[in-house]
Amino acid sequence: MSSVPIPPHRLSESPNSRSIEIYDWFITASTNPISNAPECDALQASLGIPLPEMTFGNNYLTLEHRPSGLKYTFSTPEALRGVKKGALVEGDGGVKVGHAEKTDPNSTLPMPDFVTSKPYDWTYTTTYSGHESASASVPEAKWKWIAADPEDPSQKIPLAELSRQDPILFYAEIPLFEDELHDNGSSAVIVRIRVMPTCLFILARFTLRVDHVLFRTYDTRIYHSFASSPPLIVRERGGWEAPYERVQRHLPKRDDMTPLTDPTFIAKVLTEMPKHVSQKEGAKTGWRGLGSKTEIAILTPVEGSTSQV
Amino acid sequence: MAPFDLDACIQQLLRKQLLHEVLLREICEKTKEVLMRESNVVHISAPVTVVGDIHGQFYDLIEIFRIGGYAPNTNYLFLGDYVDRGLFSVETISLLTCLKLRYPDRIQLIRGNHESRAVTQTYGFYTECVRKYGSSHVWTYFTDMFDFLTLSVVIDDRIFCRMSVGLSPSIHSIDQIKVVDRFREIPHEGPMADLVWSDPDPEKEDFAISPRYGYFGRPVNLMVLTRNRGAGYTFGSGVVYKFLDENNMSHILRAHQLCMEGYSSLFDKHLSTVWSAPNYCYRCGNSASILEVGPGGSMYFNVFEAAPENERDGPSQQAAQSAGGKLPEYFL
Repeated sequence: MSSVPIPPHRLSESPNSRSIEIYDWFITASTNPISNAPECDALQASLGIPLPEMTFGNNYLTLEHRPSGLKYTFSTPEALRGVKKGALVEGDGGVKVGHAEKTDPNSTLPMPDFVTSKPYDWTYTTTYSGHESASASVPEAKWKWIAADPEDPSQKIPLAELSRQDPILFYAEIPLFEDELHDNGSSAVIVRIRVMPTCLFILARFTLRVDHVLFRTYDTRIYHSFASSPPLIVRERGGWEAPYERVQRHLPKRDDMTPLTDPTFIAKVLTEMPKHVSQKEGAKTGWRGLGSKTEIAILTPVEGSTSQV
Repeated sequence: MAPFDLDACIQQLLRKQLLHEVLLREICEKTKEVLMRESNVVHISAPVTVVGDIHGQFYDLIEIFRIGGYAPNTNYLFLGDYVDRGLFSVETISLLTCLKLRYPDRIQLIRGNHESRAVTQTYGFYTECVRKYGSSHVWTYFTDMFDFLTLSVVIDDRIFCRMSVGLSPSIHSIDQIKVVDRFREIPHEGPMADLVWSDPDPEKEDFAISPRYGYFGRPVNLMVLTRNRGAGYTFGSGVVYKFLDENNMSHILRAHQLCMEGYSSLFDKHLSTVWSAPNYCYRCGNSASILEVGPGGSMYFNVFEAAPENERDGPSQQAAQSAGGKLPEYFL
């Protein structure tokens, strides 16, 4: 364990949420059971698409930076709003799965008439990276995301610092949704946060597996160094994709397929492939989420802002 | 092999102690002989308590016996999905198999879509067998036995029970289910696949092409897709009423659909879902239920929560044992 000094901070806890106050930040993670039937009905009506079978509709992570008025949230309804509703077009990365024309080719039974359902992206693919809102006390908060300067080391996420096993002051893992695609794979978004003595770090990860078709990952990483001056947030986003067999080849043991249900394993395999494979060609779906970008936001203090958290 | 004492095996498993591999081979063989004689549609009488998905949540299975009564004092119908996802699939399926063999007419086991070689290689049962027994032999014994599990049960000639409802464009009548050749791995398509996979859709009048199976975007390896995605149709009220009417049934009962409340009813209570894995995957926080069907046709959902033992022998303890020094908190 390194000898990093621990800054003053305050932890608080309620049955379904935990918070930390540290420097100018107030951070809350709320984890709850899956939504109940009335909540699901309301959310489904508002979204207009069938909900994933595990919808953690009440889970969220919020970060509030008092001086700038920044309020950044990860929530389930917003993550699902990122799922394409309606007919899929070029760029949506639609995964084509054929229903059998006849379930049994030898069957002589007549097929009943089909009713076509309202289309939506059945894979629940979302590039949701959290969303911003002005806090009540600072309606005209000042920040905007701009492309990071690749030459400036302060504008990228420092893996060395994050690899150091400094004490973790606050940790939370917040599932937003998960669906097993009628047992044809899996689609899920999980958000994780750790607050260290020197920084805070978030990973929001979308993972998709469509059995025998493809794997897809979309990661959002958010980093803030408490030492940055002016205060700066770095946000890295990226999407990767590859055909199923290409990922399957990386299984340590051929008969044991469990790693294919592990988002960390999938992300590792996808991100270690050459860029032109997993970030350009992908699984040939034309998904616009492929590729990576890094942005920063400078959190300028707003005059007269007070710590009202 | 010398004859074994099944009652002793059951007692050992109730204490969550594993049976020896050789013993399990024998038990699976004997159970196959029992299952082989069952029809694809087994007829039973109430009273019976119906149990949905368990998914290796052994302590919650014990909780079911605590609240619903132990066999053979209570008759049980299990709808399938005994293994995968939970921490104790081996203990769960070992116990259920012994109970079936000991009380073949009081315990019914239907095949769920997880009672399959391919699915268990992905969702944990295979890995668990190898970890607990040092080889995949036990997995082979059980998955070979799964091929013999029945596909459906009818209670008192009026309640049709399936893992997932089991209506498909290729199945119109219960008689058709009776002639399916079930002694095999679950195929990717055809009536047997449809029996195991279909899900109901309360908004649809008739069979619908689920959007999940519709054609979107660019084609991706159509041959593979057609072969693997044929399974599973959503269906609506029209199909349910027609099926009930034509087969002279009054109710359809199924599992396989997670819900916070532990049970649900659709189509004017002509179709019920029973979900029996509380706090599913140790994180959903949901309730679970078992359905007690009485001799007079009464149906009562007995709702329960996760067993207290999960707190001291659950995922956090298991993770601590197998983390190997890697702390998940230090994600990058």
